[in-house]
Amino acid sequence: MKNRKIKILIILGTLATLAILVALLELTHVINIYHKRPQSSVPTQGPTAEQKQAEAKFNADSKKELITQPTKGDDPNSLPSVPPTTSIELTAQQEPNNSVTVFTKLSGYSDGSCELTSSNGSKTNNQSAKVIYQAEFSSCAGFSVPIDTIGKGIWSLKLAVTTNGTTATKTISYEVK
Amino acid sequence: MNKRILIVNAILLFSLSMGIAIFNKGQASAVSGSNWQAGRIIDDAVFTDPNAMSVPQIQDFLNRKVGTGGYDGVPGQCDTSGARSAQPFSNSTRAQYAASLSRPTTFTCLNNYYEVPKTEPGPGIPANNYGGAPIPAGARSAAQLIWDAAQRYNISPKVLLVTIQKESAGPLTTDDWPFQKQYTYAMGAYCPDSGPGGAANCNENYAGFSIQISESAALKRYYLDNMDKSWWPYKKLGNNTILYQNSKPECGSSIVNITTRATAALYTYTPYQPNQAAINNMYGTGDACSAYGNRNFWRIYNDWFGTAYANAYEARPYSQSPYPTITSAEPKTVYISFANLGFARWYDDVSVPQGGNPLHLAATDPINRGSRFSATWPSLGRPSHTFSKVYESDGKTLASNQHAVEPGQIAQFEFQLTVDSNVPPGVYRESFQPVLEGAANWNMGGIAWLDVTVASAYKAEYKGQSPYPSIVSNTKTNSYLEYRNIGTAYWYDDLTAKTNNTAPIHLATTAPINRSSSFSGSWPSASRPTGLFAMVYAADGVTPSQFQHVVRPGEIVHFDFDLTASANLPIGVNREYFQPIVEGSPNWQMGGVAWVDATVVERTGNAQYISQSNPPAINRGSSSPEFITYRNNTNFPWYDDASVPTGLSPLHFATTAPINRYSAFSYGWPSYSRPTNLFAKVYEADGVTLAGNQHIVQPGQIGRFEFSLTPPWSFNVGSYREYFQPLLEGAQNWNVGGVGWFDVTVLP
Repeated sequence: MKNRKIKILIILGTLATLAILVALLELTHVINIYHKRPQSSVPTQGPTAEQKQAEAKFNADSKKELITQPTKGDDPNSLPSVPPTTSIELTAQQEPNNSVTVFTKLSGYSDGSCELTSSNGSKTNNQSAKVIYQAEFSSCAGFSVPIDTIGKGIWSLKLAVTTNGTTATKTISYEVK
Repeated sequence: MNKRILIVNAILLFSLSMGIAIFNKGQASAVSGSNWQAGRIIDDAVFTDPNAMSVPQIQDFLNRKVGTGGYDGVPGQCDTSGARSAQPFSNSTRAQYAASLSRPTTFTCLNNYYEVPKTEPGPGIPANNYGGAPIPAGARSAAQLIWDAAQRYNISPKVLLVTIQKESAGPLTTDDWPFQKQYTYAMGAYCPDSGPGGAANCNENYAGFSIQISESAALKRYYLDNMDKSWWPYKKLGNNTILYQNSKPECGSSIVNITTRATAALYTYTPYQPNQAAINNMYGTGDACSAYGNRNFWRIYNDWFGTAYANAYEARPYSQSPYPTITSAEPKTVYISFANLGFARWYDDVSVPQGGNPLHLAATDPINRGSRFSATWPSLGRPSHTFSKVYESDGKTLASNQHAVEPGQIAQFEFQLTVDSNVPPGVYRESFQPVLEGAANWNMGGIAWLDVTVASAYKAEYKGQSPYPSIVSNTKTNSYLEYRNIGTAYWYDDLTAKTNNTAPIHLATTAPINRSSSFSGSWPSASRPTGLFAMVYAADGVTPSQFQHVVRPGEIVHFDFDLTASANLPIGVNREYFQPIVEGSPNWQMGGVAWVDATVVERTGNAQYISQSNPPAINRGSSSPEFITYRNNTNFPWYDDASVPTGLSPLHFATTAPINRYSAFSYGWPSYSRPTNLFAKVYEADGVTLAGNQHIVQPGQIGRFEFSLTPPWSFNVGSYREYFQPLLEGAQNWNVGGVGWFDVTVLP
């Protein structure tokens, strides 16, 4: 009778241990029974220990560089503002739909506004657009000038880009045939 | 025995361990460079799914990621106090290291970070709880800020989380002792590569975690939506020349055929591609010409969330009408819209190419279930074969093609729910899903449902009635009930229902419904006082309606009916319940229960003998015409067989002493004890003037019975006294007095 009780206690104890073990593994996300996550369809080749270490070091280096360098960031108002070098590139292309698309490439700009003045003799067409940010170069968000508005001929395309109260301009000539 | 138990336990533990090992193998989350597709980093539907994670799911994710970045981290724990080692920066504690840099010594990890949203570009960093500061008023958690941006710009929160991981120092997602500076430009948004050597040169107006998150999502959305414009100078679908390194043009470029808009947006956001060296060492570094941004995005996404590719056909419910309430008279148009989460384009019947499979909306659960609401559908199991609207992924902007749904776009199906009047009122759950019609793999998920409430179109509101009547036994009285039609269906009576192919509205007894009434003598049936509208009024209750046998919504019907108190009805008050019903319909109920307290009053008075013909002398075999007159001194009218209303007892002239005695003079009578059942004449009270109705003797009037006496051939000659009296035929209390007699002399 006593042996039987001991046996039951041992079995119950083992089952309880198993349950606790499973719960711990689930909670620490070693296993994931409760929340089934999507699976990658990509075959796996996990990172090696060296790769993990290298990545951790790379991340640590990036972090150290950021937190130790007096770059703009956590207190931008207290840091000297370094005005970026700016440049404006302007090109145009006549489209089959009787319009001229004006392409812009703005270096050193991340926001602001653009004003395009297209002139042909006494006729002018004004358009405005905002600056579209992109890491490599920004641009003006789209200029398409209908040819009818100022007619064919040698066009003067003048782009004015304003950011932080400063305006820079660029003018090109473009022949519309 | 104990040894055996231990062995069993050991086996159990071993099995569990193996199970865990196997399970974990299934959860593997690493990727290989051989699967890198430069032109397809992520599919549009995956990239633009704002509901890929909820706020709690994002929070849970951040909670789990913190501390998994290496260097003395404990998964799931933020080293808030900086007690752990500052390796590899220093041998001191993290707090000491931060102090040496004059930085706060309390660290706030991303999963605990709150910031007041910065909604417009401008100087300064928004108020936040970094460094143990209290949570400022109006601040939102990082998880909430991520979710908000995802919703606003229809970008997957997963994409934003991956972007944080790839763009931020630390990275923030996993860092368990981040510095505030790491939050400032966490997404690299508005950080052009215009610094020295192509380094980031961030725009101070976009400093702050919240604006970085929202602007990163905004830029991705802008890139997605504008790459088709003629002026677009960045990456777009098709062949694009993409550099390997921004600062080293000598590293070259290659042409990448970009196949998803999301991939083009990523290459616009980070305009470089990994070279082969970076791809070959997916979890490490490549060479001097390697860039890692887009490679890491793909790798991290797959590691964290599984595949970044959508199924060809996958739908998710996007929005739908509120749960509708419909009636047989009032069908409702509803809509359900689905987001195209797959990479294939959806076509409807209008646009499907020859041999292709169109997308149909189907009744489901189970699929192809016939719906009871399908009367106007193309078929019982298909509410719609065409898109009613196609939206861009924002769910608001109409797509240029209204009959094709690109990945990420939203298709709306509009259809009508109609219900037959035989469907009992109640709530019915109707499930729907889009299906690829005719395809073996028709199932694309996206089950949505509507809880359709079927209500009765017929609803009556009690409006008024005649005063409670007192009815003398064996009489009837007219009553009325009025109801307003407050439903949506027209009401028709017996005269108009058939031509309108609908069930008529009848007034019925109720409590319980179809109860046989004691007052139903003159009704069409024992439970239906009337099947006709006596009057129909406009909504004002006064003006007669244009149509007298149709009650339109808002109008008032006047039911007119008699309450007949039969001669045998007990004296006293009887409550009679009524209500209008839709005759023959399972949904007969339309409310409007009303009652009438009808008081049955006792009959009083008697028949007063007035006159009769002279005592006759009649030859055997011959007939002698006779008459007798009575004044109606009772409190109820007398009816003869020609006038008696159904349910009332007629006054007959009967032999009596004893009542119903057999009479030998009855040849030619209706029966041997009833000389006549008709009034021969009815006079006004003066006994001279004929009454207007010759078959009803009103109280005070005089009725005359005429009949013949015919002694048979076999009768003995002599004198006979024959007693007669009027009686209320069939009444338990039949005696109305007025016993009279004829002394008949029978001649040879």
